[in-house]
Parts: sequence; structure tokens; C-alpha cells
Amino acid sequence: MGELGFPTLSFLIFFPLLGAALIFLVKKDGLAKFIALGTTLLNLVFGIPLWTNFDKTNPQFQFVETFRWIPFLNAYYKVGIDGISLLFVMLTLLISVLCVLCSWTAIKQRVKEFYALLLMMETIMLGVFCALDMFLFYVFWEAMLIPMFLLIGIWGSYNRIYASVKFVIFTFAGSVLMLIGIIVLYYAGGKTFDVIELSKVQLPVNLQYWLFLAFFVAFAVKVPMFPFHTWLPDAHTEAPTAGSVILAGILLKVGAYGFLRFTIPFCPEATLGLKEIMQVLSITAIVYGALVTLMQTDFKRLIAYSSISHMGFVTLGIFTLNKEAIEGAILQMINHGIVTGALFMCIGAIYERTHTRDLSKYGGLGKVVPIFVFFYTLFSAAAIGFPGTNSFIGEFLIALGVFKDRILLGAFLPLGFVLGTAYMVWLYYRVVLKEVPAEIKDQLYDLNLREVLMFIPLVVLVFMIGFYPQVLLGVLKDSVIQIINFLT
Amino acid sequence: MINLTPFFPELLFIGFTLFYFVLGLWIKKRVVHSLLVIAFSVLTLLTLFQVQGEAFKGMFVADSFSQILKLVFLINLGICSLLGMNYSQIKDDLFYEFNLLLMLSTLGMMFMVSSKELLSLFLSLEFMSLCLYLLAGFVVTDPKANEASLKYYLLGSMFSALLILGISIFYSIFGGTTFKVIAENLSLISQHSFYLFTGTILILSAFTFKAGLAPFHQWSPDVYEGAPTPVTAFMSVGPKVAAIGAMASFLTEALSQKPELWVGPLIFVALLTAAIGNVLALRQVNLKRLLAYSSIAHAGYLLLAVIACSNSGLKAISFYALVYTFMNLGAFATLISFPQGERINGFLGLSHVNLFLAVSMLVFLFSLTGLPPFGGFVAKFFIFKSIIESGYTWVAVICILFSILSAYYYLRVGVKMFFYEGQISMPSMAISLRLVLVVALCFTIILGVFPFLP
Repeated sequence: MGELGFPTLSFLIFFPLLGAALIFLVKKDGLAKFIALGTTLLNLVFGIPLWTNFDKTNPQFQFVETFRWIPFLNAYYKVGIDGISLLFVMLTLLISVLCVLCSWTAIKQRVKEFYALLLMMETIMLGVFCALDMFLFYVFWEAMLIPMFLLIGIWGSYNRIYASVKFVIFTFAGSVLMLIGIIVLYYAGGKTFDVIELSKVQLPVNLQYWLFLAFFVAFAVKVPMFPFHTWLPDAHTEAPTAGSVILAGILLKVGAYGFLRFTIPFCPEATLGLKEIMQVLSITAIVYGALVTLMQTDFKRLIAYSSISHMGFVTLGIFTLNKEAIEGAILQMINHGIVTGALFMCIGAIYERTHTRDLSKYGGLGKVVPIFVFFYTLFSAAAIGFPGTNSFIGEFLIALGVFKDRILLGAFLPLGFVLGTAYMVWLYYRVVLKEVPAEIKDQLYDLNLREVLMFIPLVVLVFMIGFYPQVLLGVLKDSVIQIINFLT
Repeated sequence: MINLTPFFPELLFIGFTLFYFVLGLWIKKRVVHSLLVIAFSVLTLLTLFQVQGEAFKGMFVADSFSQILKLVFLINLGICSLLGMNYSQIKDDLFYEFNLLLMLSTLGMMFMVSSKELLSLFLSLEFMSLCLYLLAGFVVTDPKANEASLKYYLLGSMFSALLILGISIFYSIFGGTTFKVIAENLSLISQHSFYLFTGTILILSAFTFKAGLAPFHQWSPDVYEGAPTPVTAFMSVGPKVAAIGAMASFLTEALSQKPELWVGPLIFVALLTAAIGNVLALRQVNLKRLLAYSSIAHAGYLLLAVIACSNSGLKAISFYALVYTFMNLGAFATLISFPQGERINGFLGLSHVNLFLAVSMLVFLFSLTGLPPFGGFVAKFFIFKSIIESGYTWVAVICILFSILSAYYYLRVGVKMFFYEGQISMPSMAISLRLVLVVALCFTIILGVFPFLP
């Protein structure tokens, strides 16, 4: 039972599944949309007591629920959250609502299946962030593949089949070794899958390196870290808007979350030993990702590649292994979820009108669709890390941590920032300024109320975190110190 | 007086078989045949878990391991009889024989996993196989079926000869053929007994052949493709599980003290099987052949638990067998209910025509791949857990790396069903097939979400 005298987390996790079941019972497609919207909205509302009742001063896991699940595997159903998970749970709840909203008119075929899968996806994502049992975690982690595979494959654009299969094969290949790692950990850590118990165990250093490797591949594919990133541009580009938003908003964070929750506590010595390699990989991802982004001519692909660069900052922050950098990394994960999610929603909205993602066909949107451009400008500024927006805080904290750790490494950061600004500004120039090409001029019309409504919470968050990051950092602080304590 | 209580389920089943042998001649309707067979299996099932113990001076033992495998065989029998009912190439007047052979073969399997003595093991294995040779060539007019039957028979009898040779070597060494005698005298044999090693290899190669493990797997794709689909479904579960189960109980009870005799060869077989089963499945365009290769790969996973040679290994085998029965028979049921389905390209756009069929096929495929939340995942996890517990982590790593390939070939079928548009027509599905699909689907999911062992 949770603190509220009620299995709060389990209810949050499985409520969307109920909605999905309900969708299959109704006949009309129109009704399916409203059920999905209602379910995700209700779930967001149910999440509020979680936020208000969360004890920020308590670094332990809260709202913990434990049930014996599979006796012959000694696996438990155990969920609970600390400050880090809480943020991701809230982000997931919000993003799910937006995913329903941004698909409202874009999805025209097999509507019921689409929303049912979206709701299943919400259940699975919440499960990943709440699981405190390695077996349960792996179940949710792998189960994520199935709805995502179908979302990309059925509702994606032209090259969807290639993208969906590539996504599954890459992620599956990455995670099978983690499966072996989990079992080895089970026997090395005293025959338990319990995350809290396992993090107390001091494993032999030699084994730590092996485990680090097994977990690293799984998480690095998901993040994605250079050189495991090649699935991402395809999956992002071909997925429907909601799929891209989920990918950017949540799925990419799962890998980084794994590093924080499992790799560092289970293999602290190995993490310290391999820190430099991880940092170099992250820097490579930042610079290489940004350079490739500059070359893109496809609107969506461009944002997809920019994710690689942004996630490079996140992994750099995590593996700098001090308080500022890790806080910055977590904040930056949330920020990336908000901002890149919003950018994908912008692209989705505009694609619905023009049916092209080719940047050479765009231009001068500022003159035709001012409301759209208003939001687009805000999110572009946030993606660059403009002071006053949320990314500024995150990037600043990461930079602070990196400089504290090693000045030489910090020297690469300005390069990342400059390149990041370059591709976003150039993109802005190509899309918003210049002249409007004739072929898209007639097709453009401005955002409607639904679309404005789905952008507003994100805008609020961008500035709220930008001006008062303490809202999130206060929740994080003790959990981050807890993680750092594993390293000493 | 011999204590026959542990033997009761088999006795009952023999009774049912004889009853059906006589009565079946007068039954005209296919439904009645199938219903009778199902009723017999269910009644036997009910008695199955009531009795435990040994009979015939320890030659026959009903323990929890063999009981779960018998459960698997009986489920397999019931479902395959239903599948046969809807398979038009088996003519009405032959359906009686078809069911009878299925029952007799199942009887052989039940004895096989309970025998704790090499000669009775050999007899029950032969009993099972003879029925299977006939079943493989059941559609006499089909040249492919004839080829399958003949190939299976010739190769099968060769390996039976090897098995009996191995048994006679064992008899000459130990002066007895019960597992107990072998285990008791094993420590007296010098470390490098050439005869003991030869005998072991001969016996194991026969099991390897029956389970369709590499390098003795070549018969299985041809036979699986040629045999009528319900028979293929039957063969892909029952005999495989029986051979693996018999091998597991032989190794754990007779030879567990000398693992150096058999662990090396079996690891070689397991790795080769994982490689061959998965790599060759990649290029198949015929779904039946694809499932044949995939069942080779699955037998490889089962073998991993045999190598583990522990209590949890035996449990893992029984759970895997149970899940595998449902997911694999489910996939075959889809194949039968969809006439164009033998070629993978025949599945183009199936989800537009019949969403239920497409979704259930997808669930079976994901479960076969080993993705949660389906039974196949828990089963695979259990297998890998048992082998890592026994200390062969590197074998598990290599096998799981090969299993990545399996994701590709299973997905390929899913891609055809869901991501393409196709012009296919679909006759309405028979109720019995729907029933099989629903049962298989339910258990594949339940065993994944709330796994249990009877």
C-alpha cells in the first residue's frame, strides 16, 4: 500500500489499460478519441496527489507497494518512486495527454487501435519509471517495443516498415544482454531482484565491469549514445507525430534513467573507472550530432538528429558524476522531453497542412501563420537554451558540473552550444523567414483552439522551469545525493 | 502385488484408447471424434495430478516433472485433434485413424517421460515414433507427404538402432539398465572409459535426433513441410518435449555425477542448434518451414535447461514446454484457419480482413520471440536463469545473441500482416478453430502475466 492508504502507483500505472479495454468495447471511432482523452486527463489529475503528497525531505523510495508475483522466479511486483522517478512519472502523464491531442485529426485510419496502443504505451512507460524489481523493470522495458513497433509501422510515413523493424531489432539486440546481466546480478547479489537490496550489495569489481557493459549496451541504444544512434533518425522521422513525441519525450529518457537508477548504484567502481570513456562518447555525440543536424533537409529528421546532440549533454552530465551535473542532466531530460516534444508537435501540425517535410518547400511562415510562429519561436529559443527558458538552466548546471570536474572537457561545451544555436537559427531562417513558396501558401491556415491548448501547458512549463527551477530541483536534490553516495 | 496407483492415469488412457479403437468405427461425424478425444484427454488430466510415486520396481515413476510433461502431451493431443478436424485434406473416413494414431503416439510419449529404465524408454520411444511415421505420410496422395514419411522413417530407424546399441553398451558396463543401477555404479567406472563415453554419445544422439537438434536436424524442415499441418503441429510439440524430457531425466538421474561425460557435447549441440535454427530461418518464405526452423531453435533453448542439470532446470523445462505448447499450436492454428497462409506473402494485409486472427498471430509470434508480457518471455527467462545458476553464463550469452535473429524473422510475418495492404479473401472461421485460438491466446497471455506451474 502507498502512503495514501491506497495503491496509488499501481492505479496510475494500470488505469490507462482500463481505458484501452474500454476503447475496444465501443464501436465508434469518434468515441475512442474522447475515451483516450478522458483517460489520460483523468490519469493526470490522479497524478496530482502524488506530487502534493511526495515528501521532498525523504530520500528513500515512497509510495512503495510490494506483492509476491512469480514464486518460482522469486520475482516481486514492487513499485515505488523517488524524486527522479516522480518527475518522469509527471512528464509521462502530461505527454500522454498531449499525444492524444496532437493526433486528434492526424490519425484517420484504424483510429480505435491507435488510441488503444497509445494508452497501453502510457501504462508501460509509467511502469518503467516506477518498477523497483529488476524482473518487473525488464518486463516493462521490453514490452515497450510492441506498441511502438505497431505505432511506427501502421501509422508512420513512407519508409515506416524499415524504420519500425530497425527500431525493434536495435532495441531488442541491446536489451538481451541486459537480461543475462539481470540474472547474473540476481545470483551475485544474494538471490533477489529487488533494486533497493541490490544497490546495497558490494559486488566484486571484475563483475561490475561485465555488468556495466551488459547494461550499457541496453541503455546506450535507448538514449541513444553515439555510436548506437542510427535507429533514431529513422524511427523519429517515420513515426506519426504522437509516436515521435513519445519517443523524444519519454523513450529516450528511459535509457538515461537506467544509467542513474541501475548502472551507478550497482556498479559504482566500474562507473568511476569508465567515466572518461563515457564522457568522450557523450562529447562525440554532442558535436557529431550537431554537425549532422546542420546537414539535414528534412524538417523532422533535423529535429531527430538534434536529439542525439541534446541527449549527449544528458549523458555527459550523468557521467560527470557530481551533484550539479547530474541535477542538470535530469533537468535537461525533462526539458528535452518538453521542448523536443513540442517541436515535433509543431512539425506535426504544419505537416498536417502542407503534407511535406522537405525544408526547401518551406519559407515565410511568419507572414501566413503568426500564432504557429509565435509558439514555434518560443520552442526554438528554448531548444537553443536561451536565458529565461528551461534548457538554459539545465545546460548551465551541466556546464557547471563539467567545469568543476575537468576544465579541458568543458572546453568542448561552447562548441556544442554554438553548433546547437547554428542549426536551430538556420532552421528558423529557412522555415519562418524568406518568402512563402506558392505551392504551400494556399494550404496554410493558422492553429485552431485545440492546437493552441496543447501548446499552452508546454509554454508554461518552459518559462516556469526557466525562471523558477527550484520546483523541480527541490524534488530532485535528495535523490541525487543518494545516487552520489553510492560512488563514495 | 505391484502397486499400480501411480500408473493409473496411463491405465485409464489405455482404456480410453481401446474404447475408442472399437467405438470409433461407428462414429460418422468429425465433431464427435474430436469431442471424444478431448473428453478422454480431460478425464485423464483430472487424474494426472492425483497420484505420485513409482511402479514396477522403480521402472516407472510419476513425479511432478513427468506429470507436467504429460499435461503438455494431453493438451497437445486435444488441440491437434481439433486442428485435424478442420483440415480438409484428411478425409472423413480416415479421421478415425488419425485420432487413434494421435492417441497412441501420446501414450508413447507419456511412458517415455516416466520410464526410469533404458529398455522401457526405448520401447516407448519406438511406440511413439511408429505412429508418427504413419502420421507424417497421412495424406497418401501428396508426394511431399510420402517423401516426408519415408525420410522420417528411414532416418528414425537408424537412430533407433544407434540407441539400442548405446543401451547394450550400457548394459555391458553396468549389468543393468535402470537409472538407479547406472547412478550407483557410475563412480566405479574409471575416468576415461571409452565404452561409457561411446554409449552415452550414442544414446544422446538418438534423443538429439528425436528432438530435432542440430546436427541431426536435417529431417525436420522437410518432414514438417511435407506432413499435413495438424500433424506438423503435433510433431513440433509432443515428440520434441518427450525427447528432451526423457533426456533430462536420464542425465539428471543416471549420469549427473559425471557431467564431464556429456556437458561438452551437449553445449556444442546447443550452440550449433541456436546458430543453425536461427540463421536458416531467416531466409524461409514458407511459414511452415519457418516454424520448423524456429522449433529447432526452441528445442535448443530447452536443451540449455537440460545442460543446467538441476532442479530448477527441470522446472524450467516443464514451464517452457507448457508455454511453448500454447504459443506454437496457436501459430499453427492460425496457419490452418488461413488457407493462403503457407507462404508468408499470403499474409499481406491480413489485419484488414480479420483483425482477431492477425492480432492473435502477432501475440504468438511475439511470445515465440520472447517478448514480455507473454508467456514465452517468462519461459525463456526461466531457462536462462537455470543455466546461469549452473555456471554456464557464456553459453547463455552466445545463445541469446543468436536469438536476436529470431526477432527479425518473426517480425517479418507481423510486418506482412499489419503494415501492408493486400487483396485477400478470408473464409469465415470454424468455431472450433476460434476456440483453439482463444484458448491458446488466453494461456499465452496468462502464463506471461501470472505465471504458475501446476
